[in-house]
Amino acid sequence: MNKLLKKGLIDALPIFFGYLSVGFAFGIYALKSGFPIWSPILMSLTHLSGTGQFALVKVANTGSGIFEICIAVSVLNIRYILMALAISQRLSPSISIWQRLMIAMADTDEIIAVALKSRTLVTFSYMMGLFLSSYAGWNLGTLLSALGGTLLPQCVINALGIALYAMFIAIIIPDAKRHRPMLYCISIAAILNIILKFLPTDVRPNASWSILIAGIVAAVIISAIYPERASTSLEEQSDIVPQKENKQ
Amino acid sequence: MNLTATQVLYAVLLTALITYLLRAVPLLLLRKQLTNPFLVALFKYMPFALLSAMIFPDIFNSTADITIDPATKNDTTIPLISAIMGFIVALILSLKDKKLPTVAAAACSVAFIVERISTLLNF
Repeated sequence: MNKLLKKGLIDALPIFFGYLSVGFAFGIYALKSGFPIWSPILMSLTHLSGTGQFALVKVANTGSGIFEICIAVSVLNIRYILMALAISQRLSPSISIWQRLMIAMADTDEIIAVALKSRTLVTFSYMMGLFLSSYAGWNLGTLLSALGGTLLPQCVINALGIALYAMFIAIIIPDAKRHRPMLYCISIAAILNIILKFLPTDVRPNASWSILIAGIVAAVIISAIYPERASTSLEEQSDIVPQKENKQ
Repeated sequence: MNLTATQVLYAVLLTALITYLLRAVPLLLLRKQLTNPFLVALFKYMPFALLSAMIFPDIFNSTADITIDPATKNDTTIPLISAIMGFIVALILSLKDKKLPTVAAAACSVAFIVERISTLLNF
């Protein structure tokens, strides 16, 4: 097997387990809301999007129609545009258009975050490795919930709920430790989001909006203060030279 | 929920298409390296800022029992002792530059053990 594909499959193991838990939670939520049993499975197969899928069910629960559902999902998933723009700057020049169209399927917060952690340009094989692990976890989790979720004990599913958050911490903390502006950036974003979360309910934006507002404001402030020259030193990801992150 | 099965099918497929377009269009439009220093910095900091906002404060109730009410997974603000311990472990290991699977597995294990203990002690 292609070494970079394999590396992607392995690097995405935390996503696999995290998605197993969230995918399971999603399935339970959709079924409890009265959705037909095939629908959460189809959603997970075609969306691979936590916010989008939860939003679809949530908005449908309020009695809204298809139009409102589409608006809600579009607005909440604006974040994927930002993530796609960020990863576009790290894709190897050898990646073709149709490969870009496949990489687009892998545009989730978790997959992009792991891909950005590699200090190199990323290849198509690596992105597909990350995608396949994550996609398997997400759909397996949803399938388990549809089957009644008896294969994994509930206490295990609950504990897995922290997997993605722990992974995010492992992504942002090492950078913040070495790079002062990054520390300021993640601190501002965290504090802003906490403030937004504790606003009185009548003025509080919903969770996805808070994250978007907090993230954009923090990134704009820090980029204005600490602009950067384009880095020309990114190496091509290679299956011969060991990756820097492996040396840690 | 008062959609028919057919309407659910349309809603799922339409939103899937929208989601895919949101992901694919930027990747097709932006195919070269940016040079504007503000934008270079912005695309570097943006994912980390978003991740940070996703972590805090939601991590503190990430181990909540989703079968009771899965909708509360993102909405409640009650911190759980298992999630707090898991967070502390993840933070310490990340400061020591441990790899992602290690940090995630350690946080899950600690959350699991703490949850078991607190159930036994009947918190």
